[in-house]
Amino acid sequence: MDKISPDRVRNAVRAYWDALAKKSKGELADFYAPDAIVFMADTKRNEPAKLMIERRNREFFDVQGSASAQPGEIEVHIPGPHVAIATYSYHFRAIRIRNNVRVQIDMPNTRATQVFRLESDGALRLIHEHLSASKYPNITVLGPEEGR
Amino acid sequence: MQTISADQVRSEVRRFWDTFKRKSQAEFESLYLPDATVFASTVPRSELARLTIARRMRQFFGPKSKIEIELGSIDVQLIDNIAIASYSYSFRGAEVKNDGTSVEHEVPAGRGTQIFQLDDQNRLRILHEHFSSGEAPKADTTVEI
Repeated sequence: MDKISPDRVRNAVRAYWDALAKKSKGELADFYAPDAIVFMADTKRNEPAKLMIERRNREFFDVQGSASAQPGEIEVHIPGPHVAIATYSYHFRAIRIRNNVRVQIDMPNTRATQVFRLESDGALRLIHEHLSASKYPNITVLGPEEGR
Repeated sequence: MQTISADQVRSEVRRFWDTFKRKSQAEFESLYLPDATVFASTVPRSELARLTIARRMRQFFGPKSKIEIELGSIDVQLIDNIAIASYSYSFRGAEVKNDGTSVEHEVPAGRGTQIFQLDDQNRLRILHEHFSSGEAPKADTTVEI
């Protein structure tokens, strides 16, 4: 089984955001361990990752819209043989449909803590994730939903 | 290697907030490992915990400053020699400056992740902390902790 290394963790972080940008629903869901707990940037409480995945599928993957993130420098701490903690800031941009209107969300000061666990199949999976904005997002109305 | 229990982690989270409330400087510093990092709620980047500790002491450990905290249920995840505590909280802090002016810190929908690691003496100490607010600040207040 491959050990955890800082570069492997950094690659996992980049692959995670690539999967989001590609809207690769299955690939993104596979990053999470079945018992993962997450704080998304726009929720008040933590929740099991599987609930968040269902919501994200419904509100993002199954409708028009796009999202991308540019991570800054990724700090990696490996406190044990099966666990790694990645912390970084990133610039998040998304286009979403809200009440039949296309809006652009720009969050330049977003922060991530992602804890990965080395699973028995050799994969690195997220066991805990805390995404948050240190400032509130800039939201711009782009116009009516396409096709309306 | 000593194992960690979920109840031990929950007690440690409560001890963190109790120490903060009692303004116990030396005890507060000792809760963190020397290389711990923190995402404070309004800071764009992670920083060394000692910077966060110094700022919190300046803001909240003064004689007239005070805080109130209510914790939600604390979820605990255990892997190897670390424990991840995640929970919601409601925080109110009055930061009273030397000139008598005050700043109100109000975080009704606070979110906390604290990652603990056993140190050489088998004490749980914070390795990484991420605090954030699930709501925008109210007028004339800040969500900074």
